[in-house]
Amino acid sequence: MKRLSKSFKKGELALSKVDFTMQRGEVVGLVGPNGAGKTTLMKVLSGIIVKYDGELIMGDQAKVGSLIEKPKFFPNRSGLYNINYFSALYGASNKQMDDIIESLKMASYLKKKVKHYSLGMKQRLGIALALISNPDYLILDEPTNGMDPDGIRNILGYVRELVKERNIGVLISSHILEDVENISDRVYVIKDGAFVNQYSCDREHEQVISLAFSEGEVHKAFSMLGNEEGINKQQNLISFIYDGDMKPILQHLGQQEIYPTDVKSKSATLEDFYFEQMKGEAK
Amino acid sequence: MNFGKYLTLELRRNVLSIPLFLAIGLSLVIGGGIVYSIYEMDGPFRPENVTALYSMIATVALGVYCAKLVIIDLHYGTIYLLFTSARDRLKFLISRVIVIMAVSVMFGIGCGALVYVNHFLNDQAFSWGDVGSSVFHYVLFGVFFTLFFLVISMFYQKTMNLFVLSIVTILVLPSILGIILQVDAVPAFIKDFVTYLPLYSLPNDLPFLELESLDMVVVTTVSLSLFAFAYYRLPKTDY
Repeated sequence: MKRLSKSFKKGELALSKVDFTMQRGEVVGLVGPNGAGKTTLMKVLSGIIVKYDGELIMGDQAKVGSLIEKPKFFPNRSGLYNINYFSALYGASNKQMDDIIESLKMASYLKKKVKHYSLGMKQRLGIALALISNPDYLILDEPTNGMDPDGIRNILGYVRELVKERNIGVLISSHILEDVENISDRVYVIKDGAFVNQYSCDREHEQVISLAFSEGEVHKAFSMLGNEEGINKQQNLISFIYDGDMKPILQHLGQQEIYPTDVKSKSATLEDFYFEQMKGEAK
Repeated sequence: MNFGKYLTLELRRNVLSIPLFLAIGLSLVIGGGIVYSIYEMDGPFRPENVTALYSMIATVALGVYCAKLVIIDLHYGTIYLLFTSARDRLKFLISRVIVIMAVSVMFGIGCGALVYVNHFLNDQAFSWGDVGSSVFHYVLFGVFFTLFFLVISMFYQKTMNLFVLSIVTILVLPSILGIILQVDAVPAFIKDFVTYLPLYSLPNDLPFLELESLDMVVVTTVSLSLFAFAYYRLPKTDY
């Protein structure tokens, strides 16, 4: 996807010159606040939105399966009817269907009408339908919505398995950043229709540093460090993600006779990275 | 998407459906009332009264079917699973036309059958041409309104509103257009235009199976134009 932009009739810009790549065999996460453009991007990739500026290059005859916004199916029919309907449409074999049903642990309720399903059951069915066309790329918009922890683990594990076994590419979005970090190889952070940064999920060396100062010194310390990108101040605490040696920073502060009352560090997570990118947004 | 399988599934889903048989059954009961009254009272009714009574339910039910065929996948969001490529969108379009033709044929056969029963019981005029005409009228009606609603749905996708709009189009709009025809101040060319407008001619002339050749040509031409427009536009429409 090269410099892809999409605006709606009311003039609002949903995507602004987005550059995006995804390979088969990888899981790409997509995180951002509500209205950032995640769903629009996913709709473009899945072929639902077709009018946009820029370029979308897909592999020859690449098939895309998607679960976007909420699961789609015929609610007055059973889950089995829905699966049979769409599998007939896309020529899925019985074995393929059985594998999906078994892996997503759906067998026990498939004969019930879909309108009686819980949200978690519907999500599973939605994922099953997205997989029925045997896609090369799978697009999942908040697939674990409404699921219990066991269900979330099952779904994310299954998606990982699919990537490994079938070499499919997966784009996944969720507001549960921990889930996205656990499953993804890398994560795009999107805000106001544009990618603000990309997070690689193997950044184990990065640390979140938190420096506590006395009330009088925290402003001075922030004015010394605060010009650097990604530095946050909350009350008497200054925090930032850092992957180098802390000594020079502490020495620099010490030269001005500013000494932190407490220094803490922990491994940086996607959540830390996300809020660093969203600086200015309400946490 | 496998078009043959999709078409088979859609035909099975829409043609072998209880609501369709109920609608045709109810139309037959209403139309059968006239047949019965002719039989019992030697009433002053003719075959066209039989078809008109049959159409009271049949046109509304067929109109609902036309709207439902277009709206249902939009409403349930299943177009997300169907509209993944331009080719699949065109398969969807063609399947809608074929399915509504099949549904319309069912309504047409129902109407023809009732005219035959009237002939059998009351010895009133009947020819196999009437059955053909009946089927043709219903097919024209079904195809036109399906394509009309499909084209509207490309620009406006709020499904419940679309559904209400479709009912109004079939039940109320012809009466409004009829009022225009009665206003003396309206120029003759506008009256001619309205008379041949499928939105007016189909709901008004179908009950008596009296679409003129020119009406049929106009309906067919407009339907073909709507199909061509949908064929061009559907793959370029955002959902």
